[in-house]
Amino acid sequence: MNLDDPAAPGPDASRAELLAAGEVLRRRVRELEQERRDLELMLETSAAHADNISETLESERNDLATMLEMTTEHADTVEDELHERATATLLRSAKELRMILEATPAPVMIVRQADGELVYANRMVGALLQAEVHDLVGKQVLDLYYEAADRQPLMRALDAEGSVDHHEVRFRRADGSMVWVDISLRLLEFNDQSAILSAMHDITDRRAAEERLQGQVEALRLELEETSKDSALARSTGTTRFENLDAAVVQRGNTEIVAVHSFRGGNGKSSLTANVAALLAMAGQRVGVIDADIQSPGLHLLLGHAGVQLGRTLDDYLLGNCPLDQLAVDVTAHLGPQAAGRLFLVPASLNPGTMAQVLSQGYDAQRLTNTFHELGEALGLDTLLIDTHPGLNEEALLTMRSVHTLIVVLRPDKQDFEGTGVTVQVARQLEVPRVLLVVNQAPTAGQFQTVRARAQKTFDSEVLAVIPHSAEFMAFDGDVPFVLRHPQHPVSVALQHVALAMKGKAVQGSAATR
Amino acid sequence: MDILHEDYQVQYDEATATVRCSGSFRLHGDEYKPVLDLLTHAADAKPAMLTLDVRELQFLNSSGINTLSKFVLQVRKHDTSQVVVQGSTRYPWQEKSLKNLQRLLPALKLDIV
Repeated sequence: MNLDDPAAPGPDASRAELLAAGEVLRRRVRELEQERRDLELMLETSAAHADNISETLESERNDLATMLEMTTEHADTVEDELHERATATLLRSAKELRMILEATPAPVMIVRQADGELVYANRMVGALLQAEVHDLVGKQVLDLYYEAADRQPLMRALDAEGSVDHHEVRFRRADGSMVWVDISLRLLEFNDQSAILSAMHDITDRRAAEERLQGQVEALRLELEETSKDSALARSTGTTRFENLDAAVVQRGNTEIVAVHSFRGGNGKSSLTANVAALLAMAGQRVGVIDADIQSPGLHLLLGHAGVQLGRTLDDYLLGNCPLDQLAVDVTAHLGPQAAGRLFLVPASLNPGTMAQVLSQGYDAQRLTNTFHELGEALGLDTLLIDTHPGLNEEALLTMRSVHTLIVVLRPDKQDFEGTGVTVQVARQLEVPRVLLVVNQAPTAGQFQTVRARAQKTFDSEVLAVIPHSAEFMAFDGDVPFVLRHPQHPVSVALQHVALAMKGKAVQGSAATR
Repeated sequence: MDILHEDYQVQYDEATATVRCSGSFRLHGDEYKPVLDLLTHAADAKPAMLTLDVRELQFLNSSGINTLSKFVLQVRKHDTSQVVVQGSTRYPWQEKSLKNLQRLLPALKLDIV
């Protein structure tokens, strides 16, 4: 018992006091017992609650663990599926690439960039280099070049521009002989490695033809130079006589003289000539057109003279059968009443006898080149357009010597690109002041820029226009030139560009010379 | 309520208590919230039978399977609906991953054809 408790009875407490104190103590014990029971109950309740929460947490933890496992397994499943799909796609792509390359009718090879080893070559490469493809694969590509140094400019261009188009380079065949190829390079990933894709084209024959032609051009140049020293010297090349040709013919007068040429026939050269002439005359110029395609004339058909008696022709003049002033026919009326200028035509003969006579006897080259200048002077022409015979013959070379501008018409195909390359090269050697290109019969509108860029880059010459292929234009048989009948047609729009360039040149020429 | 996206679609047919998922689920994290909301809505309706049709679901990423798990847990919480999941053997992931939903709800019925 607590002795400090004031309620506690002293040593001399009475019986009643002791009984009261005892009652207090019993009551206190009961209270403490009640508190103990309450605490035990609270503990039980808390424990039960904790168990409950613990059970819930355990359940949620299990769920989360299950979800995590499910998610991981699902991720693995999807990852495997995607990997298999990607691998299959890669294999399919590689297989397709090989099939495409094998079916490509041009030599194509792939070289590993790191060490220059040939890792793939199609059958055409084997044919080009006259070797078995399995012998080529694994070789160092440097060994395929005729001279190892030939590869350096290509690699420099590839480093600088990321791709190479139409470089001409020498390769070595298995037997050691040389082969010229036109090569284009692209960078690509092949078997997870950086590689160079090379597409090639055998141009050995073209190079040989160019070299032969270069020799012929040089011979002609020497001949012309010698003739100009001594105009009395008689000489002949083929059927055309050069005896009277002297330096004067190369003098260019006031008329802007433009030759329209193509390497092959059927490129739309005459149609372009007739329509551009019509546009210039409509714009107020005095324009002449000469059908210098003596072997296959046709310009008159395009300028309203189909089925019309032609009268005097260029052939007659070349044979010395008529004077120059009787040659030109005024065809301005063919353009309609709106023509602000004049249009004169010098047709070529359709008479088989006359044609045969010119072609078999030949003619004085001086007379042909004289025609251009004298006609220009006589008629006071701003522009004289000459529709030449296709190909690189003597007339074409002579004509080039006498003009201010040469327009080369080409179609965007391989044969024309090669032929035009030769023509442009010859024109430069003959020092034609201005060489322009017109790409005709281009297949689709979407490729125009590509075609223009390719031609410009290949020939290093200005491309005046890319004229779309048009069945309507080709089939046109109207009584006025196509450009006047259908001025909004895409072909006409392109022809207007050509005429505009010619008109500008003629105006400049007039200002400078008159 | 339906979700019609260019790449995926989720449609809830209340009359048949069916949720149809199709297309490719390539969403991340919170982007799945509208999908989970729709699934939860279907679960909270407490139909006797609730069908999840994923036969036209070509692709499901990890966050997507997580979303389906949450849906199953929601159904389990109510303990009133029989869930049927319809899948297709055309998509290999369905055979492997859908059966795992039974780990969360053993009574879930799987119908993969």
